[in-house]
Amino acid sequence: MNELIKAAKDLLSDLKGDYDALGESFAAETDLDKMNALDNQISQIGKDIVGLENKVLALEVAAKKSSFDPNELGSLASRMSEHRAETARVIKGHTESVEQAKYLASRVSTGAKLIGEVLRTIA
Amino acid sequence: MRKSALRTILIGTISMTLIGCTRVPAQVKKASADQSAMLAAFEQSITAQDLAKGCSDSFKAAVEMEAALKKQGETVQARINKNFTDSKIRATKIQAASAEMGATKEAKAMQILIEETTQLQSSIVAIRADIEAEKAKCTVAMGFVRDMVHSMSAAQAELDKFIQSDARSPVEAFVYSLVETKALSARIDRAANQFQSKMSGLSDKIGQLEAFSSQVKE
Repeated sequence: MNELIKAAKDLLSDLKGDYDALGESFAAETDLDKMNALDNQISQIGKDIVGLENKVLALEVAAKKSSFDPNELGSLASRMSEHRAETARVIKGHTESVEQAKYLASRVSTGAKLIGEVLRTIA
Repeated sequence: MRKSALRTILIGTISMTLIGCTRVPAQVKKASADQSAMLAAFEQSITAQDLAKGCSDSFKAAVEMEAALKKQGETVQARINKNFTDSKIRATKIQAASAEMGATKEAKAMQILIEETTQLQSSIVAIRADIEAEKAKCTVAMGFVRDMVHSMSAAQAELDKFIQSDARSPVEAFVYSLVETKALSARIDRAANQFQSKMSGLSDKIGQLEAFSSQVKE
């Protein structure tokens, strides 16, 4: 990203040099046709400069973005939600089994431990 | 004899009940395996995410994006203005030689000024949306964590209900202690409370960030 910005700025510097040089030629020119041609050329370079400055703007802002992606947590949250649904389903389906209770308790306990770790990372 | 037969039946019944209780059905074994994989992925991902760092990076990035927008936005606007001023000067010189061509040049300069200013404004709108998304990242992440705590609490509540209803059965009572789930429930509650207080701390941080951003804008 930074290399792109640097390349764009180098190009801008060249274009500004051309713009100024042609501007001086225009100031010295007296022939109408030549003045017209030079003006068209300078206007076009001026537009190119603004276009490139706009690109630099987009790149410079984009370069500052953080790589943090909270949506990766979203898939985890939805899996935890599935876990909750699964727990409810398993309990409903196996209400007779105490072993189930031990099994589920160990799962919830592991989950609680992990939640504790999440909270510690936020601290 | 009768007593012995009764004892046999009783022992047989208890044994069968215990076998029934301790046997883990295939469906549950599969659920257990899925669950272990899910929890391992969860743990790994949480470590990799490092939420505190993510939130801090996001706040910092939003402020820097705002500063970059202000600085480079002003540069673009200044260039648009310079191009227009230069065009007007050239048009005035051309007008001395040809009034018609001079007028056309002036109109063209004005048209470019309007087009480029409009373009810059729409770029700024898009960039501002990006900055808002960056600012919101931490809140989004906190929302997901809150969902996770909620899911775990709900799973715990289900389990608690199940254990309590099961405890009525004498065979099951000795297998599982309610105390364990009560302790677990208390842990979940504590975790949820801590999370709530972290959330309000983050609200303050977001407020500070917004105040800082306004200063940068001014």
